[in-house]
Amino acid sequence: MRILVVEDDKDVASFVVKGLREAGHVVEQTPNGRDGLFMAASESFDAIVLDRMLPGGVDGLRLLETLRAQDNHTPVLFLSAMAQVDDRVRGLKAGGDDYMTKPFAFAELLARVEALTRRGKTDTPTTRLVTADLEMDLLSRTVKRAGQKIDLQPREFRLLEFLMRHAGQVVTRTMLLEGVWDYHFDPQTNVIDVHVSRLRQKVDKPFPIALIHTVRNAGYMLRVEEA
Amino acid sequence: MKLVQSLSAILVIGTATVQAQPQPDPQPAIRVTSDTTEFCDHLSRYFARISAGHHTVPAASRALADEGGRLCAQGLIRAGISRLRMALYRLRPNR
Amino acid sequence: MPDAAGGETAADAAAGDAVADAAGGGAAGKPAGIDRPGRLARWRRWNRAAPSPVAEEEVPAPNFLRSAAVRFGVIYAALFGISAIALAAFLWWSTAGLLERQTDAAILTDSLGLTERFAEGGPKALVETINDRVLGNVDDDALYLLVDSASQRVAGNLESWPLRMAMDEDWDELRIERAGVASLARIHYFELPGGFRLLIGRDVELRSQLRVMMADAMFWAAVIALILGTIGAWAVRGLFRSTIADVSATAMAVSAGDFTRRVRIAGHEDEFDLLAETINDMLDRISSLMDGVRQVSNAIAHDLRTPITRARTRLEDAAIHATTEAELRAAVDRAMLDLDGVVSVFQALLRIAEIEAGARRSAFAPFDLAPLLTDLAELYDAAAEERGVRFQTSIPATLPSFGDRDMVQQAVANLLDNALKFSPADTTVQLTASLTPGGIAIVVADQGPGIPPEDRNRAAERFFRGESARSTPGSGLGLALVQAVAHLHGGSLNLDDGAPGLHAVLTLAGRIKPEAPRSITIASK
Repeated sequence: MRILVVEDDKDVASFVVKGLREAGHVVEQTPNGRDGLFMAASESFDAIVLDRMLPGGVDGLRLLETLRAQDNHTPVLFLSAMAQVDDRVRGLKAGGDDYMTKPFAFAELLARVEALTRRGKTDTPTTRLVTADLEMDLLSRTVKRAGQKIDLQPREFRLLEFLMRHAGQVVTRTMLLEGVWDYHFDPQTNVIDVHVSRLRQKVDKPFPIALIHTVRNAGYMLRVEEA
Repeated sequence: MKLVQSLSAILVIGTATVQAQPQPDPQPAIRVTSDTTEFCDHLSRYFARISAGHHTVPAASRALADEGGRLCAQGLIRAGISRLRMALYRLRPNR
Repeated sequence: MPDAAGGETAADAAAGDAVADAAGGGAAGKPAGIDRPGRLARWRRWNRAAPSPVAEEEVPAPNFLRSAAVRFGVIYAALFGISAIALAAFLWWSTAGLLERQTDAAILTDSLGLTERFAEGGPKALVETINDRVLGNVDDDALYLLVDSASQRVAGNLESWPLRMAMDEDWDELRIERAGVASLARIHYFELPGGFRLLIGRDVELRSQLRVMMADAMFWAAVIALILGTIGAWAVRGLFRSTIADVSATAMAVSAGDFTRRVRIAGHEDEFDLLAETINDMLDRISSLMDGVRQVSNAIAHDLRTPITRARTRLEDAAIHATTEAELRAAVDRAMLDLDGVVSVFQALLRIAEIEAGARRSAFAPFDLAPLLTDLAELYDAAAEERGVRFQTSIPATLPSFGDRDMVQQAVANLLDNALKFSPADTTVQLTASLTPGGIAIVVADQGPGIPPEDRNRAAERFFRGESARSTPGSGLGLALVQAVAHLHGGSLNLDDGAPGLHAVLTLAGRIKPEAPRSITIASK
């Protein structure tokens, strides 16, 4: 995937670029808002990682607003040190698809960027999600594994749905909290882990192969273990 | 300072109004004839004439008249005239 | 009034800067946009009597009238003088005026009587009457003069008809001479049939003496009023200045960094005392806020230094002693965890500051608290079960509320986090919500160790961690955030003894207006 990183801090930029390239993405990078706008408008990217405070007269918000005004809907993830709730709201209102505050864990950034690109692709509403022998019917709200029906609580269903929509991607605890519960805070207790482990009891335990994996220092991933 | 000035101005005007009275013009003062030795004598004689017509003259009245005559003789004319007038007043029948 | 700052000298400005720098240790700096040196110099000039913390420097001579105190004093003197004059004028009118009116009345009565005599008995009867009256005038003040058409004296006790008397003016003042002594008379004259002219007067020497006396009295009253007014003005000025000077000296001391100074309260329970009390209350509030800031900065310094030190030590240790890559990675990972902890403390602090600043009020909206609590209960129920803790809820079907949904969510989550963190296995955590007359009460009760009574007041302070909490992970900011949220919503956080355990009550005002201005009231005692 082609990703544009607009970030003026050299260390952060090179760290992000290196990490994204290692994850197999093609990355363009500029430290300057004006150039960033030019590149974003003239080339095609799958996602943009955008700092808010940028040199060159065009800051992140202006860049994004201009881009959206040109009917460019490339997914944008804000990466900013401005951490207040209002800043976040402003960023999302301007057309941002996600908002991360610095300092950040790269795993989280990668997970979110990949989630954004995925979101961009699945525009057509799906009614069925399938990963290996796990099937989810979104209309009848039923889940089957190896043809066997699995009973899930509504919240467990949504948790599994989120994991399945991001199958093959790392999903962090924060993403789960935001995506499944719509909470924007960081609980001190391991509430997410408990819910995931409950889900595992139902989805993985009775079957020989586990689908929900823990990714150390990052979160979870639903994927088929390569043999 | 304005206030102090206006304050003193008010005071000066105030005192001036009280003091500045219509000044009588330079015509000489007119003498009062009832303040003279002649008038005093006239009063003494008048008292003697009136008291002569009375049967009884009060002692106080006579004493006042005598004292008035004496004061006039000493030059204290207004005081003397005043005594004599009091003496006459006391002789009045309708008193 | 011209601005005194116009006369500022360079020395002034420099000295002012020196004060500001000495005060704030250079850190506080000068408040932007305020002409601080100029103001200081003006105060100092004005306030010369008060001991100044700064060496006196050259200042332009104080303009006397620039002082508000002097203006007050002059106004006082003016009022004093005007009332003195008003009193004197009234006295004049009621004494001299009365005498004058009485004299005129007596003359008029006299002239009526004499005119009647003339009408009845002609000139002869009039002459007799005049002679009688002159003889019997016990008061020795009556003046009469009857002249014929040739201005020759016919009767009376005046020597001659006054020269200037024209007949168009029948009332006048006349100078007379009585036994060689000058005197003044009030006279009335008129014509009688047959060319006779009659003058009737009264010696008013007494009145003119009174007039002189009154004039003298008024003059001296004016002088005394001026003197007393000036003294009073100085007294008012002094009173004014001593009060203001104390306030200004205190304010200057405080602005120079001495927060222990307070305005002296004279004990008169007057407006100045009220002002002093209000200022002192304000200073108390400021210094308690400053203490809070200082305490928080110390806590930050300590609480952040510890994990940073730990991370640094790990990294250094690994750099020196790690022999395998795995060891190195493990050390780096653990250091990263420590730094993540630092970041989360920072975020919590910023969040609390944001809430306390009230900036979130603009995001207030009506919302139903009941589903919010149910969702949270669902989120935490699993965590409780895993720990072997029973989780009970009692939430009404609907709880209409008004505020910042996310903040309330986080506050309740913090309370639940706390409760679960301190709950031993096989105990119960209860989440109860109910409508109260004042709004909504959310109760989170656990059966853990609770908070000892002596710590309960401080438990919601930033970074406060009780003895029992030291061993558990946490930033010491959870309850501080809950309290900030409660205050933002016009409510409170009460920590009670659950016997056993903690009974945390978060109240929210049912409906508070967004951006409600804080009313400023001066409590009068």
